[in-house]
Amino acid sequence: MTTLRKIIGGATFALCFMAAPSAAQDFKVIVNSANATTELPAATVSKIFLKEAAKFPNGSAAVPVDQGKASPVRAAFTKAVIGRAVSAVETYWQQQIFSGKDVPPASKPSDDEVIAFVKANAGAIGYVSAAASTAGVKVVEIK
Amino acid sequence: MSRSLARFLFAALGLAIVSSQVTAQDERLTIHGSANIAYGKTDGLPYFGMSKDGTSDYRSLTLQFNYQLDERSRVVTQLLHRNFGESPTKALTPAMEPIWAFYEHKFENGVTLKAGRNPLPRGLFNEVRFIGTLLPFYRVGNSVYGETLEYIDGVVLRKPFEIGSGWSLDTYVFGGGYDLKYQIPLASGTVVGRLRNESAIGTQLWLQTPVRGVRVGAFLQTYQGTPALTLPDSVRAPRTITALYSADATFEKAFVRAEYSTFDQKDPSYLKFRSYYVQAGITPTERVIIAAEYGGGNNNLSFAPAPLPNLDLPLNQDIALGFTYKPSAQVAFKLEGHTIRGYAFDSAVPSVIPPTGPPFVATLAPKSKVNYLLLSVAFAF
Repeated sequence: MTTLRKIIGGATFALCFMAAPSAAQDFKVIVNSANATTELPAATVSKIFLKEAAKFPNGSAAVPVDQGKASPVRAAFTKAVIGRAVSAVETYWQQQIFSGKDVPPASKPSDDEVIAFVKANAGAIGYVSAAASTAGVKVVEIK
Repeated sequence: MSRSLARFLFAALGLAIVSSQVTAQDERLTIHGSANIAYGKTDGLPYFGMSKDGTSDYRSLTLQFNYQLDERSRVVTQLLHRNFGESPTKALTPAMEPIWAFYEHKFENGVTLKAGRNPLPRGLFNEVRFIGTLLPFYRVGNSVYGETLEYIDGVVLRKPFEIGSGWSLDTYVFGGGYDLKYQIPLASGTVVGRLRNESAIGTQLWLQTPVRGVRVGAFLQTYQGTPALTLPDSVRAPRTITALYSADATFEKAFVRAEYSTFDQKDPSYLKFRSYYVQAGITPTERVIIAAEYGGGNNNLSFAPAPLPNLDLPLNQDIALGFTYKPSAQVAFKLEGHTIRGYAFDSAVPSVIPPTGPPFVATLAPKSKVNYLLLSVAFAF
């Protein structure tokens, strides 16, 4: 029984340890440094990335940029902000594409390319991993 | 490989090569496509192009080009190739068909305008009827969708409204014309044809409830059949009215959907067509879907002014069970079985027994029956 308790205790500790990075934000949402936005509700960011909204709350045009489908940062962002799995969002985009409504946001394969895109586009909004250097762009707080 | 498929693939390859060169210079072009490829076999009567010999010559392929002109405008074309075994409607189906070619503009006030050959917003599945990764069965409910109303040549306007407290309304209005294909099995052979309906105006409304995944919709349309346009106004048939009511509850682990369609035409006798399907399923894991569907309806024919009573002709009853395995959102493997009872097959079956004397009451022959299996793979990108 003691051994079992140790195993359970150890497993619980390991799970907590593994879950810890997910509990903290694994990503940062970034906008162009000229954008006046400093914080955004998660629901607004979700609408921008699903192209249900085309503007920031301040009225300026929003241009979302995604990361690759297999990217861990995309999985974390999608789950935390959109509230769905990446595969569910993929299905949503298939619905949009093949009903002629819209196409998904542009997708970039790395943090560096997302940052470069956001730097180059005044209305751009993207996300990068928490460890990425965000010099030259502005990190937005997600409420 | 059939000649039609070869032509489609050749054209698609050519377009893709051209497009890839354009893409290299311009990120505004995006290309998407889908395939829905099947093997089908019946246990007797031929149905939907399948026979008891089985057919693997069964597919629909789409290729879509989207070019963003600026922040608010784009042009979209979608090409379709379809071949459903030995379906009599093959005679009406080109190897490759531009089912969409439209210009779209999104206005500042949230209104979207599409002009050209547009997807027709009608019910739950009309626009995605060929996209196997989005469907629990190979085909959308045939009694409701049939082989028609696939697009509209004209204008479609869309405006979503937030009502509040989680309610929202998605509103479409449209006007234009479209093709209508028909297939009528007669004792002398199956007759297929294409009609053109013009001056269509209509709407599709979607009410999204505060419960995520639950919505109801209504489609209402009136149009003029063009054969009547060649006739003097005094004998021109009244405009036809058609409606479709939809309910959809799609959750993470289960879904229930139902649609009911009405079609009323006086030309000059009265044709009253009612059809429906109910579909339900479970998704025990993200990759597995088990679905069941029941569809049917009734066609009420009035022969007035001839001295004959009305005739109720039941539409085919379709009972289906399907299993889908989706290794990813882009790929789906399906196995489905259907039992069909009725009078509309790819070859003639006994149906109406005409009256030979007073009181001139036609009777119906017993329904014919066929079972079929369909194994398919679908992918989309």
